[in-house]
This record gives sequence, structure tokens and C-alpha cells, in this order.
Amino acid sequence: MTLRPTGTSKNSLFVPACLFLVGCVLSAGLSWLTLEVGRSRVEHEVKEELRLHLTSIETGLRGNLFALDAFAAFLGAGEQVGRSEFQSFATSLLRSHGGIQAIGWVPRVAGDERPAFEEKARRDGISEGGIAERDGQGRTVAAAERGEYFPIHYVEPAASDASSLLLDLGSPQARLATLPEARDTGEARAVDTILLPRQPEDRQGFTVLRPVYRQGTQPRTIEERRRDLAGFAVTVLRVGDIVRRSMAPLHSVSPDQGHMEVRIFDMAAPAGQRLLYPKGEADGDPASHGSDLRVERSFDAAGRPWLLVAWPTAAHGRLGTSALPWMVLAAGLVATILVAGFVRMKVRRAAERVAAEQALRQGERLLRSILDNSPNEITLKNADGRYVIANAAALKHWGIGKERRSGDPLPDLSPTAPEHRRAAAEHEWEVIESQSPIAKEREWPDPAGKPQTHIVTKFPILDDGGKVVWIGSISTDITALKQVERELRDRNRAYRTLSRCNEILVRSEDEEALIADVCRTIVETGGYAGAEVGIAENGGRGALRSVARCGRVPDAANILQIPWDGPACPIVAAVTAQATGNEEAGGVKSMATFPMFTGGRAVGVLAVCSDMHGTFGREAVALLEELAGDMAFGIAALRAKAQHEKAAVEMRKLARAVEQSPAMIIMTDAQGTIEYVNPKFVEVSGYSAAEAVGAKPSLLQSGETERGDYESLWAAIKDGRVWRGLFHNKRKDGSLFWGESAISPVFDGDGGITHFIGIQEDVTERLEQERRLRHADKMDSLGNLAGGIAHDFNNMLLPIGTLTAMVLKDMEPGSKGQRRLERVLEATERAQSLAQRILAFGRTDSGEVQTHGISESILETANLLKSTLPKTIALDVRIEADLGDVAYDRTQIETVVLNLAKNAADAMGRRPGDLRIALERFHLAVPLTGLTSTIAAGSYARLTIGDTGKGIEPDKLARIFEPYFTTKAKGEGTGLGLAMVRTIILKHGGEIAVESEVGVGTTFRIYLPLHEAGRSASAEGTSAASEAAD
Amino acid sequence: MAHILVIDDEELSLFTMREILEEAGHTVVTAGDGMAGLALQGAQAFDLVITDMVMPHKEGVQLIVEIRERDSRIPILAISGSGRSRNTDFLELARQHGANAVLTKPFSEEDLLNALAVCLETDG
Repeated sequence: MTLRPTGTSKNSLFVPACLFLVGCVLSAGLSWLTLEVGRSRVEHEVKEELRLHLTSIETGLRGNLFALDAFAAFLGAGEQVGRSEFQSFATSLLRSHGGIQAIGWVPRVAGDERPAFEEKARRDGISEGGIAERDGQGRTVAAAERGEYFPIHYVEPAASDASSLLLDLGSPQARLATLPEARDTGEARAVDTILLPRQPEDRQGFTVLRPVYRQGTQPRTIEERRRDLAGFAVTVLRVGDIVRRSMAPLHSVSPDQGHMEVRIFDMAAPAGQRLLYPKGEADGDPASHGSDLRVERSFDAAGRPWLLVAWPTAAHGRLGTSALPWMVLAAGLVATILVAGFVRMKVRRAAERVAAEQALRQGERLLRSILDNSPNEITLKNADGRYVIANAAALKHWGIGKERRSGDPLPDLSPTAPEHRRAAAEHEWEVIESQSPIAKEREWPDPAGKPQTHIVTKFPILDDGGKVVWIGSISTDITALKQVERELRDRNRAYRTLSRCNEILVRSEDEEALIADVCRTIVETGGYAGAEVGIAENGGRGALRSVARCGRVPDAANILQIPWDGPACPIVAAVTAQATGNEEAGGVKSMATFPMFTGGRAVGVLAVCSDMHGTFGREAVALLEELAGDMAFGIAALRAKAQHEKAAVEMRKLARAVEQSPAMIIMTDAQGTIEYVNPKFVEVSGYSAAEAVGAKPSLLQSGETERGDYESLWAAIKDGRVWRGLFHNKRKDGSLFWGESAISPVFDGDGGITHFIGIQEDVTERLEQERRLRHADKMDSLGNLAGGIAHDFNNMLLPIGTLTAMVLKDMEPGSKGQRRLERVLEATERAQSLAQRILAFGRTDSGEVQTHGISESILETANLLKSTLPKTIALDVRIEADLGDVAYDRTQIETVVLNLAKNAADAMGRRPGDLRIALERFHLAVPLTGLTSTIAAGSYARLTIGDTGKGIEPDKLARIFEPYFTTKAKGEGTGLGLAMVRTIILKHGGEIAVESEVGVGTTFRIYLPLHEAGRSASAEGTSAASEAAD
Repeated sequence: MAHILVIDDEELSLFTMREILEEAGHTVVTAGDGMAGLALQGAQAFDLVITDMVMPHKEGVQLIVEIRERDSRIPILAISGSGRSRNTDFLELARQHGANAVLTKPFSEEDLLNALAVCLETDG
């Protein structure tokens, strides 16, 4: 545990934070100062540099002007300076002053001296043309007559422009106001126009005139100057050259020379033309040039006020940003951080030390408090074996009271008995050896001699070198705990036993296994010596039968001897050694028997034996009694369950019988409302169980059953008798079925009727079968009869016909005898035809069955008919080709068509009429019920043969298929044709239907099953046939 | 001219056939049932046997089988009044068991003589 006085961490941060802030502010201030000082020094230096430059330029200008003074002095020295003298002087001047572009002499020539001057000039080879001037168009012409002239006389370098020699500067066109001004003041004057010939490439020049007086001296007054003026020294100076030349020496001194800008303005010039240097730049306000660092200087250039301006360009090295302030700032910050960090560390350490000391003191108090409040006895021994610490519990244990002062040394707290002392010493030695805590359980009496159980944990306390310096001991009194633990264990075992037994009771399926398992659990889990269970025979009236015995049970305690139908409470008895009887039961000291009751009836007895006296305490007895009760319940439950299962199996069988009954079973309540119908009912009637339940059985009434039948039914069943009878019932889909029924009442215990049960069998099929069999029998016997008759008939006809024919041959033609015998032959032929028809009826057994080509067969038959039918009958044949496979006997089907067609023709008689024969594929959507049978829904080939004959009366229509039934006149039909047709169709698995209306006609429709591809061709067609034929 | 055995249980039929055959120039021996017919056929050499199919004592089919066992070449003409009866086609059976031709009763004089000619031709 660490204890830290609050606020320590805040204090340890405050001072360093303040230091850091101050340090940052100082660093920033110092940095700013450095920046400012640096900047002002640089400005100063740059300005000095600029001034130096301007001074240098000024000096250069001045030098060049002085050269003019010197030239003037040279000219003034001698009245007549020779050309060669002039030349040598001017050349030297030009050489020494790079800024001079040209230099020249302009003498004053008075009006009267002109001819002489011109003459001399001609002689000297200066100019042939004399003094000239420029006219209005700029052309050079001879100067007009004036008082005085100022022709350009000498110019150096001479070769530059000869045309301007002797040009009069005093001419009105020259308009040189500067000339009189220079004459009168005696000073050099600059001219804003160029007087001397210029070198074309240089446009930076300006012209200066300097008056020269006679006698070489400058007169004092203006009059004297006007009088003594000898001429003017003229020079053209190149400002650019002068500037460049004067700045050149500075290059080596200032590396930033290139980063300076210099401008020279002539302030006397009109605005826009002021800038003299450098040329080519747009003129502007001189003040707008340069930056804050510009330096200006005024200069008097031969009477013209010039302004020299210089400033550094942005590229000037001195103006660049200095890193020094940043370095100062960085250094300041770094130093601040270092100092603040260092201070923080120091402050924190101090705070931690204080906190640690506080925590130590608090820990000590805490430890002492824990020690003294611990119920465990805690002691600490030093290396000398002396006790140095003992908590309150330990002191109390050893009977050391509060009278002992805290500073007093502790007495020896080791156990007193020698063996306990030894054990304690060994314990300590083990701890020292292993250098780890070791816990041991001790059963030592307390100082008062009372037995106690303790858990003593001894542990080493090591010094830094790993040596044991102290041994601590914690002793916990677990005497009470041990006692509780023991009791708990016993109880747990008892409950575990009960719980296991309950599990067995729940799981067991068999009574005897249950009892054996419980006995075993009582011994194995419960820890008893033995257990036995006896069960009462004969429902509790007879003797006990031992069902299970486990462990050791003395014979003397034979539970079979127990008067168990006596008091219904447990009996606990001691078992004496003599009474145990058998050796196996040795050691059994007590036993208890428990009657096993359930529902107030005893089912048996449980006996439990123990090796100890006093085992069967109140708790144990209560538990075992409960167990006996549970067992009794379990046994009763198993018995009940067995009984129930048997009943359930019976019930299920019954239910299954009802569910799966091939007969319909309907159960109604006493009022006749349906409560239950079985699946067969649903299947046959078409009503779902939901529809049937709640309805009355009259649901099925078709109206076909006699009213009296229902009355007798109710009379019988209400009377408690069974009613049997046949109903003609109606299904949900409206179709009818025959139900053979047995209806019986169901009685309750008091003989009252609670339900009625109707068992009904759908006998429709059976009745139909019977009917068909009867029909088939009839047909069969008829067939046989017919065959027999025909056979004998034919035998008789042979001699009649043949012999008559033979006699007839011998007869005299036209005789009476011949005529009569011919009538005999006619009768014979008719009899023969009749015999053939009778035979044909007998010949309805199947011949060759084929599947293909029914369309073609019927078409052929129809074509055959064409030739035999009376012309009054129109035959309409519509045969659908490729309608599929039909298994059919060609001969029989031909017979059918011919028979029906013949009937149709007969029905139409001699009246005109239509005979329709059609064959088409037809899908029967619902089953078709014919006279005696039903064919299923599906695909059929439908053969229709219809006529527009007289029709058949409805009452006869129902009978037309019966053998020997005929609507024809006596002698016209046998009554076998349609019966035969129907038999053939039925044998083909088909059906025939007829519609007829008297006076309109009759239509037969024959349905022959269409066979899907792959099915056996003859199977369907002949199955019905074989039935009918048998 | 052929020597012909005619077997039929009907006396009138026998008479009629004898009348036709003898008038056509054949010699005729008649028998009233199959047993007698078989005995006669064993005793004499006939050019042709004409037999009815439905007879007492021995059915025509049985008779044909036994004659064929004895003589595989002799022409047999089977005749019957029933033609195809309900379940059995006697004449078809006769054909299957060796009858050279069949004839349904009643037949005309011409029918019989034609059938006879067919049988004898087959033989010849």
C-alpha cells in the first residue's frame, strides 16, 4: 500500500512550471532584442555604404567638372591656343577623365572679325564653309550677319562630327540662354541640350559651358566679363560612365555593390525628363524610388540642381534575415527546459520522500491495527528466538493482560509440553530450511488444558541478503470449525443418501431393482452397516417377503419376523452381541425398522443396521423414515405406472384400430351431433374431420334412403339396440355411395346413453362388383347359349339351303315349285344372317390388340359405310389424326362402329338425315360414371356417332344396352347389338354414354383410354375384359 | 375323281355333303363321329378328309391331330357351324393343326366344291 499526502504532485509541478514560463518570456524578449539591434546596425551600415557610394559618385562628377575648369584655364592662358596644343591637352584630359565624351573650344568672334576668322579657319583646315547656323528645317546654312558669333572651333575627339564645326552657338536657333548666363556669372553652366557632337551610342551625356576671359583671369564685374569674354570651353560628360567609374573602386570594398540601386535626377528639368541615370528607365518622382533605407544627396551640377538617390535592393546580403535571434530563442528555451526539468525532478524527489515517510508511518499504524484486531494469534520471533511481536489475540491466549506496558519485553510464548515444543521447533526449522511459509494443523490443549485444533502457519522474514532474520507465526483456532465440519459431513452423507435414493426412485422402471438400489445406496453412500427391505404380499394382508438385503444384517433382526402391521412408526433397537446370530453381521450394534407407508397403506418394511450405538438420532430417524416413505411412494408409483401403461397400450391399440379401420367410424353424442370421424370417413365422404365434427350424420343423406329406415334406426338405437342396414349416401362432391352400417349406443356406468357409434362400410364397389358379375354371368351364359343356338341353327341351315339350291337347279324355270323354293332360300338366308349376328354377339372376346392407327381404322370403317348407307343419309366424318395410342381390337371396334352406324341408319329410316362420326382427343376433367362403372378423369380418345333420327324415349334409354332389349320392330333387330357394343367398350377399359331426344336424334359417345408413351399397350385394355370374360 | 371321307355328327349335313360330292363325281364314305372317322381313315386310303369340328366322342381338332400323326400329306377340309365360338375359333384351330382349308356352315354347293378343289390342288 502506498500512501501519499495530497497536493504533493501539484507542488512538485508548480515551481518548475513557473520557471518554465519565466524562461520562455525571457528567451522571447532576448530574441526580440537581438533582432532589433541587428536590424538597426544593418540599416546603419547599409546607409553608410550608400553614402559612401554617393560621395564617390559626387567626387567623380566633380572631378570631371574640374577638368573643364582646368581646360578653361588652359585656354585662357594663351590668347591664341594652337590646334596642336589644344589637341594634346584635350587628349590628355579625355584620357584622364573617362566620363568626358567630348571637349571643345567655342571662341567669341565679333561681327567684324568674321571674315578673318573664317579665313583662318579655312587656312587651318577646320572648315571651308565659314560660320554656319541651322535654319528652320535643321539644315546648315551660312550664319546671318550678327554682332558676335560663337562658332564651335575645336572639338576633341575631332573625327566625331566635322559637320558641326563652326556652327554658331549664338544663333537665334540655338537659343542658348545659358551662354549669356555663363558669361555674366563667370561660372560653368550646364545646358539641357547637347551642343557638342555626340557619340551616338551614349545618350547619358550632358553639356557644360565654361566662360573663358581674356588675360586668363576672371573679371570682377559683369561689364568687364561681357567685354573680356574670349569664348567658352565646352565639354560633354557621360553621367553613366562617371557613375560606373566612381563606383568601380568600391567593388572590392563592398561585396554588396551589385545590390545597390543608384538614381540621378536633374531637378531643373521638366517632369518626366528628370531621370539622368540610368537611362532607359521610366522617369518618376524621385521620392518614390527605393525603400526606407534610401539615401539622398543634392548636387549642384554646373548650376543645375541634381538629386542623387541610392538604396539597397532586396538581394542585399546585409538585409537578409539573421539566424541569431532564433538561435538566441532556441538556446533560451533549451536552457529553460533543462532548468525546469531539473528543478521538477528535485521537487518531486523531495515530495516522494515525504510521502514515503508518511506512508510508512500510516502502514505501521495500519499493520498494528490489523494485528491487534485479528482473531488469529500472530507472533514474531527474532534470530535469537526471542518474541518481538505478539498481537492482542496471542497475548490473550497466553493470559498476558493489559497491565503489560507496550515497551516491555515479551515472555516466551512457546507451548509448554516438551513434545509440542519439539514439534514447534521442527516446524520453525522446516521454514528456515525451505525459506517459505508452511502451514500445519495442531491439536494442542490451550494453557487451561482444553483440547483445541489450530492451523499454525509459520513464515520466514528475510533480510536483503536472503538470510532469515525473523520467523512469523499465525495461528487460527479451528476447533469449532472442525466440529461443524464433522457434523456437516454426516448430514451431507445423510442427504446425499436421500438424494441418491430419490434419483433411483425417479429413474427406476422396476420395483425390485429400485429396492435393491436403495438398499445398496443406504450402505454404500449412507455408511450404514446393512439394509434390508421386505415387501408385503397379497396387497398388505399376507406375510413379508425379503426383496433385497445389502451389507450386514443380523438374522436376529430378521425383518420377516417384524409384526409390521403393528404400530406404524419406526422401531429402534439395540442389537446385543449374542443376538447377531451370524458372523457376517458382526459389529452391528443397533438397528431401526421403518414401515413403508403410502396412501395410508403399508407396502413393506425397511430395516437399517449400524455399527455404532446412537447412530439413529432424531435426525437420522426422521431422514430414514422419509426415505422409507419415498420408497413406498416410488413402489406405488411404479405399480400404478405399470398398470397405466398396460391400459395405455390397450387404448393405443384401440385408437389405432379405429384410426386405421377400413370402415368409416362416426361417433356422435346422445343428441346425434358428430364428435369424431375416423380417416376412412374423411376419405370416403370427402368431408374433412373439421367439417364433420359438430354436424349431424344427415350430412350424408342423399334422399335415396327410405324415411322408414331412419325411423327404425332411431327407434332401435334409442332403445339401446344395435341397428344394421344399408344407406345410399351422398359424398361431399355429390356422388353417391352405398354404406352398410351398424349403429350402436354407448352406455355410461348407469346405463344411460352417452354416445352413438356408427360403423359404416362403403360397399358401393362391392355391390357394383356383384352387379357386374351378375351381368357378366348373364352375358356369358347368353353368349354360350347364342353360340350353341347358332351352331345348331347353321347345321340345320346347311341341308335346308344347300339342298334347296340343288333342287332349285333342277326345277323348271318359272314354275310354281321354283317360286316357292326361292322363298325357302330367302328365308334360309335371313335365318343365316340372324345366326351370324347371334354368333357375333358370342364372339366378343378379344382378338388381336393393337395400339396404333385407331384413326385410320375408323376412317376405313367410315369409308366402308359410305357404300352401304342409303343415299338419303349424309355422312360427316371428322377424324383427328395422331391422337395417341389406344389399345384396341380392330375387328371389335369396327363391329362397334358398324353396329352403331347401322342403328343410326335404321333410326333415320328413309328420311334424309345426317350421320356424324368423329374421333378426337378428349380430356375428361371429372370421373365419368356410366351405367355400371366409372372411368377416371384423364385423356381419352372420344368416338362420337350421332344421328338425326327419331330418338329414343327416356324410359327406354336406360335399357338400351341390355341384351335382347330392342326398340326395333320384331324381326329387325336381335336386341344384342348395343349389348355387344357396350361389352366391347368395357373390355377396352372405356365407357359408352348416350344422349337422345325424341325427334331430334341420338348421340353415342365412346371413351377409349389414351395410353401415354411407354405404357404397356394391352394391359389397360384387357384387364377389364378378362374380368368380364371369366 | 376323288375318294372322300366325310365325318359329321349331323346326319343331315352328311347327307347334304354326300349329295353334292357324289353329284360332282366323287366317291364318298361317311362317318358319324370322330372315332368312326379315324377308324375308317386307318382302314382305307382316301384322297381327302372332310370333318366337322364340334362332335361327340372326338372333337374335330383332336381328329385332325391324330390323322396328321398318321398321314402328313392327306388333304383335310375342316367345316364348322359355329365358326368362331365364344372363346374358341375352331376353324382357326383346325388350320393350325393341319387342316388345308376351312369352311363355315352353312355353305353352298359351289363353296364346298371350290374348297375341295383348293385342297386337292394343294395335294396335287
